Amino acid sequence: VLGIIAAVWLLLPTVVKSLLRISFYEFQAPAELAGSTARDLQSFWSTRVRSRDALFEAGRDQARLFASYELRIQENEHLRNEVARMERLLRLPSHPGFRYEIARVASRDFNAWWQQITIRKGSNHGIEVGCPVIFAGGVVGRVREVHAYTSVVDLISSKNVRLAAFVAGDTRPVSYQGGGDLSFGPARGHAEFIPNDARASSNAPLQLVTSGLGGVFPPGLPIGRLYQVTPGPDGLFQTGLVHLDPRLHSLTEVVVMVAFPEGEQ
Amino acid sequence: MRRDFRWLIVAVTGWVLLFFVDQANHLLTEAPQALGWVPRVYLYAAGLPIAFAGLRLTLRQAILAVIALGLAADAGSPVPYGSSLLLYLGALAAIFAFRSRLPPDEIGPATLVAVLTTAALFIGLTAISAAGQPNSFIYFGRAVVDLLASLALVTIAGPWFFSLQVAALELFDIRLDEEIRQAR
Repeated sequence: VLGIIAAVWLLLPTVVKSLLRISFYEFQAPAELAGSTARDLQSFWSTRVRSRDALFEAGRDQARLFASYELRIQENEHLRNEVARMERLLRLPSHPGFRYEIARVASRDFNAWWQQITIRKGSNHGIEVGCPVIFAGGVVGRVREVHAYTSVVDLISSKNVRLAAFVAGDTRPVSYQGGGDLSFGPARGHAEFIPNDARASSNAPLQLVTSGLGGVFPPGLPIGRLYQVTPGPDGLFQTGLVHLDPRLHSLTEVVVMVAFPEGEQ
Repeated sequence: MRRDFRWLIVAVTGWVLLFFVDQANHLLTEAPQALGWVPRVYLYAAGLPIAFAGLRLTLRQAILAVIALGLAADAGSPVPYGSSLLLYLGALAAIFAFRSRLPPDEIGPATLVAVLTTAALFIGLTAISAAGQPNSFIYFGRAVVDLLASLALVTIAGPWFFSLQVAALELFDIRLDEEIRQAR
């Protein structure tokens, strides 16, 4: 009987399997969201029991941060206008624009074979499959699945994430691939096709950033650091282990970059 | 004839268990960063509900429970959909082959079956996930740590989970112990 059921499952059309998968996912999604909301509530109540002095201090620090961010916003606006003016003068194609969608992390699911997070925004906020996801430390990953109220993001350490990168300050492309998650140490990735003249050490690591090639990630976003590079098997390029930001393991909030439709900025 | 929904009760309690395991995995991802010396682990406890369904339900009821659990398990993971379902069905077949030799209402042997089932399912899922990935042998160390942590969890949580399943069934007036006694 069990063999017949297994055979029936294998012969079932893909449409039926997809429908079942979506149904079961959406059926479980409220539980996942409820768990995440309960954690937020727990964090709220743990903050409530802090002393008034601690809250005043935190408020003062926040005010300082806001003041510095406001200066940065003005500076960014000035630079953006400058870039637009240069693009007009030199008749350069403009960079694709993005809308930034901030989302809470509902769950983190990291094991030896995959590393993914579920965020509390989905197609209801216009998120699409393939959207880049970032945080304060750089690249988080790429949206793999979009559901009604949630999305699943493949972390940059996942082995199915590949992207073109640059060593900061260089314009020769390097290939990056997620390298999994081990029991000890930070998550990591692998870099290939690093130019032979690049040198890295623990005192002077190389910063790997997105290249913008391929059009998914905008250029210049930090990926990770290379502390050592070794000659590749062909001798023409070098390879290296990329140490990713340790904060990837404790993400609570991320930003999804949703591209504006063409012609709309 | 009164419909028998005990498979659904077993599946729902299984989903509740898997929900709590997911929450634990979420918190465990940041534990090494907070505590420094703790290794990163991933818990897997799918063997518990499968073992209960295999040991305490009829074949028809066990199959329905396993289908409900298997389809829910893969819905959010990147493995081909249905992988867990096929693994669970395989595990169920193995449990049914041996169950006549096991005492049906004792916690100790049931926990042992759950531990063995979890180990078999974890190894199966690892084989599916590792297939086609380059240099996958590097990650077997992590997989072994995850497996050992999962087996420890199943050993500790097994007696509690089996009691929970029995209590959940009793809420709906299904008394497995009495049924076993009457069958004897």
